[in-house]
Amino acid sequence: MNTCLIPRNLEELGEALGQLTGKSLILAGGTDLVLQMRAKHLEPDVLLSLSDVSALRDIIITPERAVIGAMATMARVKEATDGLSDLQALADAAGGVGSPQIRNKGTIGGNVANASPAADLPSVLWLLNAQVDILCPGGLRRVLPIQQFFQGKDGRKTQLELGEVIVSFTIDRTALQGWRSAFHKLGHRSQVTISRIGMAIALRLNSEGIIEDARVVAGAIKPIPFQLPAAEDILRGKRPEPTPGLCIALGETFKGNTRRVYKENAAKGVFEDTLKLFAR
Amino acid sequence: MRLNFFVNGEPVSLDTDPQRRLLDILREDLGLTGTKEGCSEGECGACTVLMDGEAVHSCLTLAAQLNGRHVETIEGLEKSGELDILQRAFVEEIAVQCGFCTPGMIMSAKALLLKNPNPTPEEIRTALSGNICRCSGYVQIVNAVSRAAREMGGEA
Repeated sequence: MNTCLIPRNLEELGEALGQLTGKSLILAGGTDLVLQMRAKHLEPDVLLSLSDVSALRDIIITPERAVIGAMATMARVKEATDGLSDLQALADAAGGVGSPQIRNKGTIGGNVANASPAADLPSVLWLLNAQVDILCPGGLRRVLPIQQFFQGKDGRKTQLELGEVIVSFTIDRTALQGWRSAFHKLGHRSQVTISRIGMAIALRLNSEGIIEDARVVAGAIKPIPFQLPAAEDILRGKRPEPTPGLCIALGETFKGNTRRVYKENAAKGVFEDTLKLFAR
Repeated sequence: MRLNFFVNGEPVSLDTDPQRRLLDILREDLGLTGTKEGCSEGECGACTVLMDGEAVHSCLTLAAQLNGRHVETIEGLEKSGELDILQRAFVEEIAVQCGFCTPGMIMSAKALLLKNPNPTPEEIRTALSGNICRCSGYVQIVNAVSRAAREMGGEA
């Protein structure tokens, strides 16, 4: 390796991004990248560490919006959003990633930029219509809706171009007034597990406890998260109670979305477990 | 790169490759071999140390991420030849068999007790969920952490 860049603020970061080539690597928490570097014997020409840009770690939550810095760790995202009913799915997802050690280093920005199909945060950010704030080489900024962010071109997984990094995710909480959200994942064991299905659900209930509106986004099924309008239609007008009939009907909406038969069968159970979380 | 950080409260300054792992810096450059290398991929927890008070994998932490950070290893627990309460509790509860997982296990427990001095057995299991032990069966380990919490003044 020739160069290691460790910028201390966004201005320095913007300049550093201009020095990156196709052989450079950007280091966030390192929980995925360090493994890849070792497994593939990667020799970057430039290693850019985001560790010292403190502005990237900020989490600012007001009644109007939540701005979560890309370098906020899973542990801090969980701590900051736990108990906020509209953002609860973020806490559920961040709190279930890997082990405590992984949650103390792995970042929300890394989870999204790495764009593993099994990543948990993308489906929740998709559910909550997050906007992705991106810093470009030289310091310019651009903002993309998360749904568009994952429409990569030319074989890339995301819209991130060479030398671009995520600065933060912004969620408009005024649009979420009256909504509650939850996330549950299916894994091979209860902790330290990789998602086989990630289920992110947001519901808006009326005063009688009937679901007025619903959003359902599934992860770990396709390369990127996807919305399930058929499941949303089923939920509207119902109570958020995981009755066998409701869960079977919801599970049916998975048909045709996955080639894995066990996931089709497991979907009803994942719906059941996710709906149970609305009794919190 | 010139790396300046703290290990067990002492300032450390060394010239190193930015891609060098904290695990290798501790074991090979600083001779602190209490931190163990197990899986090398963030699964087993044997290499767990505290970074700014949080449990992290030293095998997934690079020198490029360490500037100014405070790292605590198992060697930092012993004070003036006396074992820390946690270390003693592991001995007294026979929570050690082969001992390879023990330093990581104790550092994860330490991180838990720093934040939560009075954890439930469930909270202890969650805090240790990233640490694998292939001999003990975990019961004695959870007991040892509960015991340490009690002796430190928590009420568990």
